Amino acid sequence: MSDHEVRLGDRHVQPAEGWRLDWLDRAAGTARLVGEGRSIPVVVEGSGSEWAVTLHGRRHAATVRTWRERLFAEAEQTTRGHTGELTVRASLPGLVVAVRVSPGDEVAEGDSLLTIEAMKMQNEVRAPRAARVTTVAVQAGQVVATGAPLLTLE
Amino acid sequence: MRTDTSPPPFERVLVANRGEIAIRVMRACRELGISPVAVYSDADVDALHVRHADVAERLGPPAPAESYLSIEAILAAAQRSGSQAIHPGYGFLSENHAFARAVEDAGLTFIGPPAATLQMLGNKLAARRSAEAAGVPTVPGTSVALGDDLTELTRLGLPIMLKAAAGGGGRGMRRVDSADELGEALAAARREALSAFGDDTVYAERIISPARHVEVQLLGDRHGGLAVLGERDCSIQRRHQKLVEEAPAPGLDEATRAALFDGARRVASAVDFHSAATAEFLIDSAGNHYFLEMNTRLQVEHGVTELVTGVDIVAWQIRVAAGERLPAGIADAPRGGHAIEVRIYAEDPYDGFRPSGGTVTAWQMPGGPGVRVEAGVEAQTPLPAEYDPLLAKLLVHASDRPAAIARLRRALDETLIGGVQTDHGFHRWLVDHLAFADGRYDTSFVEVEWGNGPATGSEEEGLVAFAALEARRSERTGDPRHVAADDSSAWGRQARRGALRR
Amino acid sequence: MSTADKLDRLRSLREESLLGGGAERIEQQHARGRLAARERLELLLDEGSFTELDAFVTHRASDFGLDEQRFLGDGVVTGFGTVDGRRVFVYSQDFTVFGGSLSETHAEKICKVMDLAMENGMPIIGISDSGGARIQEGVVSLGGYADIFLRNTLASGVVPQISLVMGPCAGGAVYSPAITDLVIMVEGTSYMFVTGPNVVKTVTHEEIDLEGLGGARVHNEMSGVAHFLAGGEPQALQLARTLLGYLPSNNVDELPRAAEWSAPSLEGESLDALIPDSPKQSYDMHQVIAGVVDGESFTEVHAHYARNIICGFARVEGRPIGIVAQQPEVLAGVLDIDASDKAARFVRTCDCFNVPLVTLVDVPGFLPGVDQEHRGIIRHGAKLLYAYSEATVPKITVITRKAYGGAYDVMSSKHIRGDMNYAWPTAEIAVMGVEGAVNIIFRDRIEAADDADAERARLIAEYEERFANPYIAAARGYVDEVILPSETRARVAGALVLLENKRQAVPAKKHGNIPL
Repeated sequence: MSDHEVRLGDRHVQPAEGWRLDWLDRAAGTARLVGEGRSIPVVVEGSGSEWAVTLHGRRHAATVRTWRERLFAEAEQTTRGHTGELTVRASLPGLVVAVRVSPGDEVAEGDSLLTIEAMKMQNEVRAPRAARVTTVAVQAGQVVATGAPLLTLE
Repeated sequence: MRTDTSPPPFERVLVANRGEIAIRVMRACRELGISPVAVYSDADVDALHVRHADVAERLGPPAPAESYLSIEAILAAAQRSGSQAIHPGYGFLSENHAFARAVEDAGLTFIGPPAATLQMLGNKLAARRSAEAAGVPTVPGTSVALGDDLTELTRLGLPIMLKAAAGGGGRGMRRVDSADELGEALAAARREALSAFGDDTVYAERIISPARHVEVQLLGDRHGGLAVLGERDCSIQRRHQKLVEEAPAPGLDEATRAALFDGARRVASAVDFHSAATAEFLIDSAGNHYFLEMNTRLQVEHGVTELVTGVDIVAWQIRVAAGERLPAGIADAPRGGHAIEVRIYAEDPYDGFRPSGGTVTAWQMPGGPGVRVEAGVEAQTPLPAEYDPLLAKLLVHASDRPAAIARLRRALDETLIGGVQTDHGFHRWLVDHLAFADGRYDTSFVEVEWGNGPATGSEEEGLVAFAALEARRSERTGDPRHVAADDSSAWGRQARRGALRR
Repeated sequence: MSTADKLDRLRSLREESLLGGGAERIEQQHARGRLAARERLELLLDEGSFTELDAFVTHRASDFGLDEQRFLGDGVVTGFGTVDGRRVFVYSQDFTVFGGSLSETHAEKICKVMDLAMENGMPIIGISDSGGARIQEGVVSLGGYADIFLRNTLASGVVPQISLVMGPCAGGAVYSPAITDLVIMVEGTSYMFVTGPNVVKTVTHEEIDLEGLGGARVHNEMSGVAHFLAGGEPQALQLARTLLGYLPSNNVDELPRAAEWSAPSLEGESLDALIPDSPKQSYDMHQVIAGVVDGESFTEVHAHYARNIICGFARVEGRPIGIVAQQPEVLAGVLDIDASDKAARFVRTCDCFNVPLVTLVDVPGFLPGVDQEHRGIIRHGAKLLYAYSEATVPKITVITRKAYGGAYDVMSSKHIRGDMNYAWPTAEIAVMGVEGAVNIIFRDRIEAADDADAERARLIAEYEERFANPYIAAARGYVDEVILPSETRARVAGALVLLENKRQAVPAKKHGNIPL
């Protein structure tokens, strides 16, 4: 589990065995790969998990990650929250003063969907995540109770 | 030839260019005892070429129009530095007749052909006419400026290439494959020509494909002397720009060679010519040759001819500009061996040769017998986006073609460039390619044989993976994100105090 | 047996213990979308820092054929490691062994690391993934649970305790996470309930599935049992690491300070334009937070529960703080039962571990209504008041807009030992809103007027001018300084440095009697 995994682009690649990397100038990244009775000059630049290796004049991007780093990196990329239908409900009783979206609209997380006036304040109802509006159940001027469905997203 | 006591042709020459060619010219200056002056834009303040000169003059901001293309700025720099002559290199203002004239008007010497010749041959249409008049075959096409009469064009047969008369060097060209595209393509070509070159004149040529691109190097003096220094094969191109050149052209029969030399001589003789120029020809699969255009300047690949002839073309440009005569035997100097040049650009041959930009980090160029490197950059050089990304030219010279290829292979294997993707991988593939080894290639070679390059072999991938892995393993680990809790732990202190009995 | 053989025996036992319930069961665990017990620790702890204890412990039961099945480790992986270089104790239940069920020895293992943590002043992180008590062991198993619960309680406020529920956690087992400081659940693969859907169905005839009864969303949004909803296991474990970065190792050690920090992600000047002119218009308090704390340092706690109040950890110039702030966009930012509970617990968590509190106030009061009154808003609101009053950590308060009535007192006011109390020029510190006040105070005058509405309007304007501002409070020193919104960060940062070594006490007592 603490082994490193090497990927070139999207593909997992098994590192060659029986070779050695001899640095010529670590700061500049120049080195020689030695093995199988040969010695090949190579440039290796980078740090941490991101590397660029130039071999025979071709520059390759490589990621070297532990299992742990890979899982964390993948986790960061997946969109948070699940997909699937979500009903946005009124969290308080009030008067719908503005509806800003219609069915089919794409919204980003945090976008204002509608405004409800309650407690003498205008409350913005925001999108909990990026989604598409499927239905809108209320219109401006309508009074809603707590828990009333306002719209559905997916 | 020269004695040490003869005075230098000029005291001081301003090199109106940058990168590797500026350094090339400055080296020639030094060898002639001339003090070279460099010019630079703000993007090139720390550039390599600046450090090769005795004096460096600032031109302006990075944009070419405000620096290397600014006639005003360059002349002012020449005045300030006390230069007597200006060498324009290639590209930029090297074929700009207004510049040549302005230089002469300012009382300085323009190291190149006369302004009127630049003007004449700079218009590719006029050049065609001149060649035809001189009895040199040209690419079938219309040599009359196009009106909206399309019947002329259809007579040529499709596909055809629309070319801007004021263009050249592979620019301002548009291919038309079918008759319906013709009208719109013509209109677009004229618009583009107008905006890029200030002249919307467009002419058309039949596309010769497959073809070999063979050019002939000319050198002339102010006294009517004219030398043909030999030919170069430049068929390996991408997007009509050369990547590899060699001399002599492989597999060229003597008759064609003689015809090319003759044609080049005729075109040059038809105008007032001195300095260096190159006549470009296409040779079709049947062996017919056609004049394409005349480049009235030093070419990127001039070094290839220098290696096989021993003639220092740049030095002669300078000497001829000062009024020297070409020695009688110059063209008959024994031609020896075979030379190949590969251009190393910062571009990605695995992705359509897209420019790669960035910073050159590691930089190790080959050496040893028969290897000549003309580099415009060094290690840790950031590449300005405004200019041509030519990093270096790698030339080799050997006794024959197979030896030259072997030498080139060896030199490429010694080369290390880091930080940017370059053509290095393409050239390394090329020297192992059978057709190249046989000298069988034409202008379609890169597109057909290379495409976007072969997929990386599994052995290579394994080595790349190993190198990255090893580099990571031998790296020093980073520090934890937070400052570790203070070593003098409050808990520990309390623990010790609390353990005391009271 | 030669020495070499003995060494080999150890090696093979170690390999065996790593497999838990076997490779096949680990596959099944993965198929369910869950990681294995040691894999979770691998992600949680710094690379290679984990040292396992008690890997060879096996259960002692023999009833019900259990003597035929013994697994090394007995269903829980315990030990210690580091998180960002700081030592922590951990336990991670192994669902592949007897379904992660708790036996006498399983509980002993957990108790051992908890004891070690308490003696050495290090945080405890527990990962729950267990079917519950090992029924075959009967009451012994229940005893085991109690041993754990006692230690959760004794450790409470001594060392930080973080629970990750990464699978089932049912029956009595739920009380351990419930006592800990912070609970993280994983969307879709974790459940908590005291009685499961099957029993619920037979007793109350309610039909509901696992997710609906006690899934991660339920506990984040409805019950408030869970403080965090993670999209997946790596996210949950990363979150635990992040949370530890705000907390000291114990109640005596220094808070970790970040070596580097970036400027607030919202420019100070934007804060000056944030409060809308119209008092009816709301704004997002998250923006104020973004304009005060270090860039990207805010981690919201209990984000899905009682959204009318915001709680979370952040940093200012690298120093951790706890933030409590009204969210005007939700329910106008009133204090209600749930918000009071949420904030009170958070305040006390911070106070336990010496995390300074920064409170951003824009509260129009408590939520009126029969429901609130009948369900005890009095009791619950009192919790928050108690928590703030009792807290001896540095307390910095910034009133951004409204601070009405009793809620003004409750929200870390100067009177309950707020150390630095600031107010923005838009602050309105009053007993109640302008309109309400005018209606009450000037009722007779309005009734007597020819044009009641015009008179009311005039009085409102007058009252607003005189009272709906921070200057009366400032004149009395209830507010130390009225500041421009763009000055807030600088003030807060300066106050934190000033109050770093604050000493304040609560009279000696066994413990107070916070209304519950």
